[in-house]
Amino acid sequence: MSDCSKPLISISNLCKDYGENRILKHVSCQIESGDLVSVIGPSGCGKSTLLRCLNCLEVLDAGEITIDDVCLRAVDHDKNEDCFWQRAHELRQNVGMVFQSFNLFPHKTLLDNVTLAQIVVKHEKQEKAKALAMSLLEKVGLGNFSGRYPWSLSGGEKQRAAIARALAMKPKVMLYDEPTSSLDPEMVEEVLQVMRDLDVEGMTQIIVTHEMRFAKDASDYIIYMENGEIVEISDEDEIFINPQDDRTRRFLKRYM
Amino acid sequence: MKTFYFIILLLFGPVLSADESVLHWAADAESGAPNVFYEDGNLSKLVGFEKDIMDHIAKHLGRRAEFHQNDWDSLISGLQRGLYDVVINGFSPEEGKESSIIFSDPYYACGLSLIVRADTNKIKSILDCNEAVVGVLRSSKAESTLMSSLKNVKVIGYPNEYCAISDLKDKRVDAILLDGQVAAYYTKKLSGLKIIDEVDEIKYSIVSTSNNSKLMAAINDAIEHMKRDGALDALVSKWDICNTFYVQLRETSGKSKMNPPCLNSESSQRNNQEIIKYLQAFPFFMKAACVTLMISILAMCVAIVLGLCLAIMRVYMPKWISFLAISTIEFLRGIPLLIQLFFVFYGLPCIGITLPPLVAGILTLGMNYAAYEAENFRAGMVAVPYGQMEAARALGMNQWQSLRHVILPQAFTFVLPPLTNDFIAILKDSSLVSLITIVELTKTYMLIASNSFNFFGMGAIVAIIYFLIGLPFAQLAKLAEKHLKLEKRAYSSRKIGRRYR
Repeated sequence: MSDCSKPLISISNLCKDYGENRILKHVSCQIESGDLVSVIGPSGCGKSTLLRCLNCLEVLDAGEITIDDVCLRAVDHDKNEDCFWQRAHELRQNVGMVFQSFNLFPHKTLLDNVTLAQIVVKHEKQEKAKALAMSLLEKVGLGNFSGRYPWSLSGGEKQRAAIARALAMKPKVMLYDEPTSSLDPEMVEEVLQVMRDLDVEGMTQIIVTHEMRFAKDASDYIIYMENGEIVEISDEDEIFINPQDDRTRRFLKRYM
Repeated sequence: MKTFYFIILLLFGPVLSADESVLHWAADAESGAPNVFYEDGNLSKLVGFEKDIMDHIAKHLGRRAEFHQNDWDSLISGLQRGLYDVVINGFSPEEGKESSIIFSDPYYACGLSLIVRADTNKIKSILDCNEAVVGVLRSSKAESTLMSSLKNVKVIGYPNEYCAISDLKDKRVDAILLDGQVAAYYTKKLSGLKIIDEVDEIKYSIVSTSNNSKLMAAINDAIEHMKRDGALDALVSKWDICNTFYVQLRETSGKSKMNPPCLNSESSQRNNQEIIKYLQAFPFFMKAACVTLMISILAMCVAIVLGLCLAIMRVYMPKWISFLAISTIEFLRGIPLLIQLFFVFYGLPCIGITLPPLVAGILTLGMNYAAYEAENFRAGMVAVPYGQMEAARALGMNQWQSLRHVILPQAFTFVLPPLTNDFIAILKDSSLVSLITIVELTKTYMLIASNSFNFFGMGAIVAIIYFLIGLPFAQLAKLAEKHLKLEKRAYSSRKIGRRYR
């Protein structure tokens, strides 16, 4: 545990360009350990890009990101690329990612999906990795499915398996990129429940979502983004009842 | 490990066995009667006039004679490349323009005989061949003689005697001009042909390279010895190939007690025990099939490993490496395999890289196919959704680990069908290595068929063998595909086809 005065995640002046387009414009925020944060906003506002930057799936063009004392600076990427990627690798060790389209490995069973990175990256022993994988699969309610292949699962089951896979690396932060967007409505709840359970256990989680109800009920606070900028960070009740910014109000009006 | 050593021994064996006690000699036994040929197409019975001469010479030198098969066109290239010590295949000194080539004293002389169909009346002598179509052996003395003496003759060059003669019988050419004793052999063996004219004189010499001049002196000594003790005369009469030119040759070099016999004296009885010929051929076909299979499998291994490297370089490496990979791929697949083969086998020795035939063949085939496999693998890797790579990277795997554990296993399932395709293609393309002295299935067929005058039956057998070799691999790939399939779809590909018809 990092000490209380220091946030687990701090983002400062983060910029990201796609060619001429600046997707993220000097984004800064801090997230404490144990928080469950929802990031909402219209499509194309850069919320997914922000999440992907946190896991170095996108290379930041300016600014810096610190997660659990590992600091990643955009200037390092230009100056010393090897050093940058070494840092990025360290940073990823603390960050788990869940994708909209699950991205389970289709050629492996659920058990192998969950053990693969443990064995390859952390050089865990087969038995130890299996034991952890089984306990995680049970935790997400897939204990009986360990020998199944991804193609035989429903969307909700796949996403829960993907969460178990990310958890197996013992991350300090979990990032969710629209985890329920490609699910049938009746399967959304089972995935959200897993996230609520993790919150109770004290996991730090950042969720990019369109599930306003979940954002409202479960989040510690909500980040509203528009046009590559953070417009408003506020308490989950506050933002829905009494948004401070006009843009937030307009966006929420369409949803609520 | 043992198999590994075995393969190494097999590949480099020809090089290791280059010791002084063996006299390596080469000829083209493809329809080489009566000089060097396989009796009735039986590949264990190498016989012939020149074969006997080489046995005599080797005995005289106190060495063991070892035969190397090579195509007529490539005999001299192989000699210069050091594949064997000497070539004996009816070469006459005029044919060698290269200064590095030396010739022995002549051991035989003959004329060029003009053969026509028995029912032809139009052509009575070589002079009637103006305006006619005449077949000859490619780059032979007959070809140059014909070209220089007749203006309007249309000359067709054949790779071997049998092809020329069967074309004559099939009326594709009007006449053929062959060395006297060869013409005599075939007109005796095959009915419906006649010899009508004999022109010019050719003297046969053994060929070697100038750095073998000591060996050549010994061979000349042996030939002289054979002439003196009558062994040469005995061989000439054994093979029934005496003629006026030979008698003249012997008279100028000393005594001769021989009289030229009249040609077409008797026709040998045809061996109608075809079944026995097939049975005899069978073990040789099997052995050749193993050679073909071994070459194909090893070449495919080279292609897969090299192709995979090229594909990874092209897709995942920095720009300049990617460019290097693209250039290599385009270069390798843009040049005919045959040219690559000749370049590697006969060209590279010029810069000091001399590879044994099998190694050269396997490497060239493998390299050529690597270009195709690289593109197959690239297609496979690109077909794996990008999210897979992201998921692997997000889990903390580095690029190589992601490739190894996530991308390649999935890409392989996409690549398997075209890979199987290419294996069957390589199985057939491996026949090209017969051009660099390797006797594999196609070459065996040519040797057996041209010596037993049976292109039809033997051809059918070879076709079936090729088909049978490829079949299990196709089945194996089918099984693997089923096993590796990423998604058990409700409909198999065939059912999908039916569904949308």
